Amino acid sequence: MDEIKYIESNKSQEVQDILNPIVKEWFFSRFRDFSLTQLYGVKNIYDRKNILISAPTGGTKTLTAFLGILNYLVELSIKNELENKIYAVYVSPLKALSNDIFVNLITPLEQIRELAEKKGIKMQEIRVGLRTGDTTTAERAKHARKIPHIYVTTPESLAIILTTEKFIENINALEFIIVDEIHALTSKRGVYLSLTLERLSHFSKIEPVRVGLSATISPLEEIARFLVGNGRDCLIAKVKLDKKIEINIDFPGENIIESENLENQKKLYSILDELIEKNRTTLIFTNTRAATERIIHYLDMHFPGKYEGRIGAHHSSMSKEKRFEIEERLRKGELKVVVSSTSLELGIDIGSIDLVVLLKSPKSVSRALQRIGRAGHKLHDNPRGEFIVLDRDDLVECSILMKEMIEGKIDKAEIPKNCLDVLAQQIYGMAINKIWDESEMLTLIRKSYCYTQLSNEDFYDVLSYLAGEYALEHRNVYAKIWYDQKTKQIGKKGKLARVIYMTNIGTIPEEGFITVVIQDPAEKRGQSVGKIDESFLERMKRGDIFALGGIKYQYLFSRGMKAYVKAGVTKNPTIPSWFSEQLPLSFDVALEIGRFRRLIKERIGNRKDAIAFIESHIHCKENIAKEIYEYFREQDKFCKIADDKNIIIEKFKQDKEYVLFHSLYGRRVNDALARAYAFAAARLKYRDIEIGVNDNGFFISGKEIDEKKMLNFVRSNKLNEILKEAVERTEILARRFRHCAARSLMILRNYKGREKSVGKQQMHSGFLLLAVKKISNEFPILREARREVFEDLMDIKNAKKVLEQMEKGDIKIKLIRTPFVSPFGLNLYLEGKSDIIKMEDRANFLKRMHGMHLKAIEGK
Amino acid sequence: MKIKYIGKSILIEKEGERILVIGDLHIGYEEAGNFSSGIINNSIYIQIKKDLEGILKKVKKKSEKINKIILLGDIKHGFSDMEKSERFEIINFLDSLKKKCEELIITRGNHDNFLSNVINKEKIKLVDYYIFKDICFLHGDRDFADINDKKIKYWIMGHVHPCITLQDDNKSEKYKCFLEGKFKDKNIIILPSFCDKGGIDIREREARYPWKLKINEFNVKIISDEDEIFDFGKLKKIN
Repeated sequence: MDEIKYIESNKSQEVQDILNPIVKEWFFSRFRDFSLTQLYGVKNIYDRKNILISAPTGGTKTLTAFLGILNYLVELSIKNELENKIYAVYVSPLKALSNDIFVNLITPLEQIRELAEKKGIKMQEIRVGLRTGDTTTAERAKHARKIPHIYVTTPESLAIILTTEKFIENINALEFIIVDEIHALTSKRGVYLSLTLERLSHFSKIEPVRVGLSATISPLEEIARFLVGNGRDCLIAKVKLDKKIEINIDFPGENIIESENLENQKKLYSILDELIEKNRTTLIFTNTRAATERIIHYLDMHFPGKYEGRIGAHHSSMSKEKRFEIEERLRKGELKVVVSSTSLELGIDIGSIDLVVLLKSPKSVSRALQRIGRAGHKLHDNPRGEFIVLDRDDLVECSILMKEMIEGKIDKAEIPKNCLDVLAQQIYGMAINKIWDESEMLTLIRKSYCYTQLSNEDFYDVLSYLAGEYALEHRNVYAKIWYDQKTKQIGKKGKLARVIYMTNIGTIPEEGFITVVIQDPAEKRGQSVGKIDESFLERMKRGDIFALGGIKYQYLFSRGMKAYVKAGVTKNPTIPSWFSEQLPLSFDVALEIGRFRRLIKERIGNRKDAIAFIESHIHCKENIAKEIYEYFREQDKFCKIADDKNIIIEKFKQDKEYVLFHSLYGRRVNDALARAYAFAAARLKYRDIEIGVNDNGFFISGKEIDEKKMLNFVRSNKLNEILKEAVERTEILARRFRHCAARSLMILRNYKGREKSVGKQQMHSGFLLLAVKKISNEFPILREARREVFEDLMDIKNAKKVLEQMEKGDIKIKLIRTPFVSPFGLNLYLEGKSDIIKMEDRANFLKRMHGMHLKAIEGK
Repeated sequence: MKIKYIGKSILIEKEGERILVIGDLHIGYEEAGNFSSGIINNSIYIQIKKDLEGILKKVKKKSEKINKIILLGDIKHGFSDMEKSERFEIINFLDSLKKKCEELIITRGNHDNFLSNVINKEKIKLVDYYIFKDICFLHGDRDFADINDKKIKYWIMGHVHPCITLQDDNKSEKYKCFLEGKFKDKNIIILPSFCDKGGIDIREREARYPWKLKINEFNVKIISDEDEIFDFGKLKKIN
């Protein structure tokens, strides 16, 4: 048991042999031969083996998963042995499924039926049922009357129907579960699904076969365990299509310095225009919404009229209808070019894209592959991608991404473990089904890969919370289950349990958008100028300046879901507008860049050798290698370059003291380190300290910083403890707590059909957080919020590794003093602070401010 | 006349009388906007009771009695859908206050429409404004002809929950504050709200009074937890 095994593909004849003559005839009337993916998958699924099939996008995965099952169902239906039950469940994280299912399931079924009819073979009808959040009540009722044999659904809808008795009757002899796009489920949504799958297996008299379909992802063993849970075997089919990735890197202008120059960015649009011209359909990724709009605007400006009606934007803050429309027009081939932030990375077939352009680094190899995989979606086209970089850091980063892609090294995905909020929601769902013995429930939960290590303590704490033992009733958090200490049994509480569960299910947090309204000047008062993210607002304090749609505003105050601003400001923004959308650089890629830096440093004295080395190391053209070499040589002349074994710390004084770390570990690790050091610095002087973080480093700043003491204060074995205190009173913890409180149903988004706005949820969660902290600082959902901050938002695990290496001397620290910020720290410095570690108490601050105020008045 | 600042309230001593004045309470604020309103033994309510006890302890420490307690209105936030249990709590609360003084007076606020149905009118005085010698106490949302009388020198009121944000380069904190200034021939004292409900920085929205008060010219006073007075001078001079 528990065996994970990589397999080879079957021979075409082996697969043909299992197919029913009708299915076989149908298949070969449509396709010349099996695809490689099908050779790997079809027979194994038919033979009822758990299997994870990983193939680059553009494969034929969905049909692979269905072919064996269809074959089995057709056999049954010809023998008139098809029962009235659900045989297979297909789960996909994508909501817009119907098109895919139509192509891969409904059409084949119809064609097979027609073929059988022609031959005079009688077949029972094989029914397919589709249920997503959009499915109407009438359709759902139909599913109850005419039970579909194949049930197509989303993780959320699946969890809902699992609380219906009728449905459980229909599914209690389930034979197959297919999880599509499993690579997109390495999040709490996936954790949630893993428990749902265990519940499905639990209710089924037969152990259903699990089939996972994935794009390129790593590590496959972990994804396989995640798919099957504990105590089950799994095969892994790593399908390498003989498609070659065609990837290139370029920059506008003669050399890269030139492309950093704003004037020359015009050239960027000529390059884009040329690429678009040469290809039938081009997809451009920009990372941010703002950049998406900007690119479209400038393309139109430089080529007036040319792109009218042939260009489209696609990003997450557009309405669902608008996005559908763009997707539809893409499929129909009406658009020449589409510009997307990140939203088109995943999902449904968007027709034939010939070229994917990546402006700005996609920050991880898997993401880069996913994006480029959107081109050449058809089986035998090669995916083609083009990086276009505008600055030198981006050049190095994208070069490494390119190297890793070509060499097939993919950054590791991580699946969250022991999420207590998700667990709370699932236990509630389980309690709605029936009365459970505690041990039976715990055994089921621990079968999920995400909860193997779940401690008894965590489990009982969640039970206590759900059973109302934390005395939160007066906070409108009512007991959801009962738990009998004597009999060790668990059951639901409340008549509305099912309704509450159904209307509040899910793991994707609702993020609010804040409307920006002008307060000043008076003649424009009340005019709304756009929307910003809630998380963006959280970073602002009175007086901060930010840009929205290219215009600068000064933040005054906020009320509910509105932010009031002063228009017509001329000062520069104090907060970068892309902050909240920024993707973190993956740790693996960051280390690889660090290593690359070190390898070049070793060769820096010999120009010819170094350039040749770069060319072969990252598989690039000579001009790119030259650019990279020049960049490093310049840096080296100015001061030491940080790499994977050397951290450089520079200290300088501006309005206050800055200690700036050049630590190339990606922002998740840097965030953890920055907060820990800032806490140390704050604690040493009892004053507040600011931090700024990006992928390449971080700074901490304050009135006075004793960097030596600070460095000594933070030890790897103390990191957890320090960070726990450092984030305790921050907005990020409060915000994550709100998400966790919603997931664990402490805050109900919907109660008796009434929706609660994000603003109200926010207010309620603020009060709840205070109350919870008073009751117990170790309240399970608060613990979960902390875990999310440390493990999902930050990367405490790797931060600890970095500290350990520093302590062992494997990573060396060099401290330098500079008169002002060095060129390499400049970007980080300009991005400004991202958070503040509070230490000075209110009373002290009041006294100090009063003193300063009096002085200022007297001074005048 | 002597005015003592005690936390969020003031104690007025005048001609042998001791009057404790308390700003907007807004009991039940945190429940407003929730789906159901439960019993009000929540943290804000508990905090209000705790703060009041602390103040009463300070005021009564020399076993001096309090003649009057004046509540400047807005007692209960969202009154209309009050449950029985909540009414009971409010009545209890007011009764306990009544026991601490000779006379309990409430000046009606804009949130107090239903209050008259709840309170025991024999024990508690519910009025639009209350005049004691040359001082007028009122909530502040409405103007009345009598209060403009020349003999009245002071208006003491609540209503706007004044707060002020202090900030330096990297820190900003909000404090409740008193505002003191002049309007025509009247000296005005505006009290901060008594509940923990976060107020609004007084610079961020117009003070919603029926008079044209030049709030910018008012003095800002912040009272620390140790009742130390931090006088920041005129509002307009604070950045």
